[in-house]
Amino acid sequence: MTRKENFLKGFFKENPLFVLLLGCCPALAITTSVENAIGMTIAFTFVVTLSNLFISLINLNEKIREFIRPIRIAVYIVIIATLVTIVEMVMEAYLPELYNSLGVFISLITVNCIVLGRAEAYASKNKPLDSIIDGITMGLGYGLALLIISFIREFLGSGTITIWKELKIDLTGLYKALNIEPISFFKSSAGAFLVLGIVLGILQAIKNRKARKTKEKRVVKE
Amino acid sequence: MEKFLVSKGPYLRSADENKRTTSKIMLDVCIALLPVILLTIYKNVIKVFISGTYTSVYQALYPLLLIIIGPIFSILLELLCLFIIHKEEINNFKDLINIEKTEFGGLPGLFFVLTCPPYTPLWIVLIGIAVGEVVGKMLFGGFGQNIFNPALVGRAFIAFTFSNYLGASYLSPLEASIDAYAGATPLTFYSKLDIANITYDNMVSPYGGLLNFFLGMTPGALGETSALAILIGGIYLAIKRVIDYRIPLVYIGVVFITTFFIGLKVDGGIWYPTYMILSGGLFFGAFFMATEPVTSPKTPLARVIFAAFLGVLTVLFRIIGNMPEGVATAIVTMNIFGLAINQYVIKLRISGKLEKRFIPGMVVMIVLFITLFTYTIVFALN
Repeated sequence: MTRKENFLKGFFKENPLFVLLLGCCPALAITTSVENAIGMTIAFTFVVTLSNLFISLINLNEKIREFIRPIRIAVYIVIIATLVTIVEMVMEAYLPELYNSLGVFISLITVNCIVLGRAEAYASKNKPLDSIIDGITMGLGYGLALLIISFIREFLGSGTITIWKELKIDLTGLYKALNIEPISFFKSSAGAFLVLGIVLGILQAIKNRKARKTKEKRVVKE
Repeated sequence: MEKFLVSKGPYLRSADENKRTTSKIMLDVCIALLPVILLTIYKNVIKVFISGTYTSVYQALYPLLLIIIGPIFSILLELLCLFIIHKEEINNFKDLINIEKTEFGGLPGLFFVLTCPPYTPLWIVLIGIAVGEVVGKMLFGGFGQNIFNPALVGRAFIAFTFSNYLGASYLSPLEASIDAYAGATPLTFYSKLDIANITYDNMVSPYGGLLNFFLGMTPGALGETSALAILIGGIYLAIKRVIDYRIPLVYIGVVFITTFFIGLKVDGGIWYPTYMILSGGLFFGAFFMATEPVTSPKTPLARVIFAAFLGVLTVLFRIIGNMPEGVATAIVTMNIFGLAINQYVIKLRISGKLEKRFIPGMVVMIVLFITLFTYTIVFALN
């Protein structure tokens, strides 16, 4: 796998949320506004990139690798928890509103299965630079998925798109013009399940169609 | 080589009757709905016209408009979904219509509209049909594959999302001019009462006696008010053996018994349980929704268990839930368990006798039923 492929895989081919279905819990809970999704993406990308780097560095040394082998999950968790604590403190100090709206899900990045999964499946077996690229692509891919879900949910649920604090696209006028109201169902977590399921279904349909087309092409060639 | 043909449910036994196809069953359902629709048109359109309390012709004809638009919109949505699903096989419009003929897309829309208040804003109706039709039916694979009753999925969706709109759209202009009506529907009024205030004078007299409840001259959703019209349609269906008489009988019976015990505390009169079974959408739900061939269990015993739980849950949701009506929620909830109950009963039937492995399931069901039953009564009395 080249570096470019490695970088691109996280967006669609191995998207953590849409393909691997990891990290569903924050994806369902915090995607009520685009702002939350952006904040989560930044925090998450930071954590997963750096944890990948450190874990890859630890595993470079043959001796240390063998030494921590029986307790490696605990070691990984300590590293990840340290990074999450940094993010949490910085966010509480400088972005208190975002910190409040993300709530407990910042701390829960620690036990997010994507972070630990990448550490175990990728970073512990690959070189530091590759691991960093993997961390960035996973973080951004997850962020892309969060953005899609939160965009649909916020547009349908409250009729606004909050990008960052005051920067807000207000579409309630559109609803008023049509003489209807936003569907508050999509603000609830049941709405999140529905949106996630439908997006997953659409992506799967696109994938199936592509697979069928390539198959047909192969048949024609033969 | 011969092939096995696998087709979608609901299945018919050939022994039932000759040449009975799914389309004939659906035609019977439409015939059974006729008295309900005629009566609702009489109550919501003609009576309003005669009284002259309407402000515009559009307002007076609005309920009729809903009944027409519901099925049409539902069919259109289904055609769109079918086109997306079967894109490769469809060459022209005729193919699409041929597929649609086996899907009966109009019925969910019609049922949905009949569970709506007569003056529901049009966009809410359209959203409800879209959710029921697309999420409740087509995403599961179309006719015969759906777990939940499509119409009730849509109904539950709009009930939880737009409850303030729905509450305001029950009264026709004629009914709104009557001062004696305290709430949007009898059940809305009832849900606000303390147990001490529940008296015949308070609850039934404003609507002019229980006979009015039976005939359907009380405010309520389009299709649900008239027990008489639903009974006529329901008995027709039961005679034609489209529906199983056990489900409505047990369902309404359990509701009657449960509320009878609550009524003992009120004043012991038989009017209270009668009021409870005649108000709200119980008759409509029992005869047309709970018996839907796709989503209800297939064996007689399973149907009895299914209906008994429905009855208890309906009273529970009416009394404890924050919405006045519980029929739709109860049926959607029990649809989840319908398949499991059906499987259990089928295994029991194949085995022929009560083996040891059936006892845990039976104990769970009996304990659950008794717990729900007592909890409902104890909660209602306090």
